[in-house]
Amino acid sequence: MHESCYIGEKALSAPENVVHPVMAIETDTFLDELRQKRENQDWLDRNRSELRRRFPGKYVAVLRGKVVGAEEDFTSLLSGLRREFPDTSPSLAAVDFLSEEEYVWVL
Amino acid sequence: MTVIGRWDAEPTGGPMPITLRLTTDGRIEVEAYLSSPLYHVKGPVTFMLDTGSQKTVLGPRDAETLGFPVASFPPYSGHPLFGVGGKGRPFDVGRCQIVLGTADLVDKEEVLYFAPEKEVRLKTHEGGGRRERRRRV
Repeated sequence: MHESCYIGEKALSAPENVVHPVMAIETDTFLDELRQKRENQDWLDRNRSELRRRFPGKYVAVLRGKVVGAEEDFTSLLSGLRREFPDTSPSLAAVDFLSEEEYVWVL
Repeated sequence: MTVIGRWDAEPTGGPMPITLRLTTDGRIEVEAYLSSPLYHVKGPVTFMLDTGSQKTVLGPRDAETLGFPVASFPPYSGHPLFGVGGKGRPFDVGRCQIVLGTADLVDKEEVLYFAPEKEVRLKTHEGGGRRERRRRV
């Protein structure tokens, strides 16, 4: 079954009377992408302590249950992902910076 | 750890379940699908939930990963924004569609972007040494 959410509206920063084309999001596609993203994030979070020991001070990318990149610089990591996985959107990967020390978030 | 939060969903008029993640380092995250009709960019994004924030902010890494042309974002013309880190210099991403859950909750949000801080090394006059300083680029 294909369902779509449709978008078509005036952007805030655009000149008046400029309506941007409708973008369709196919539900099957985005649900699958969300699932992949969630699984990668869950895996990274479950293994955060071990990854912090192995890759302190680095950005780490996780895809399909394994680490596919670790760099000190985020741009290098992103370039590597695009080079190694040309058919996979890097937005599906879970990417996080693993600081050497654990931070406490106060929000 | 995954928890199920309850979210007041305006379109359906009542609370609906949205899966949240309480990370092992204490963040509350939610998976969403973001779509920008202005920049023709879409993809999954992991948002960090900040109950005190009045704006939705797209992080620099997410913006770059999704393929947004971050250098062309216009400055945000609204009120000055303050966070725990001080006053920010936001840019306007425009209105984006944000889909949560299984497409049961679709929201259109004005999304902002903050330029990342970049570490630059500056020479000091004290012994010709170098020290790190962070500044916005």
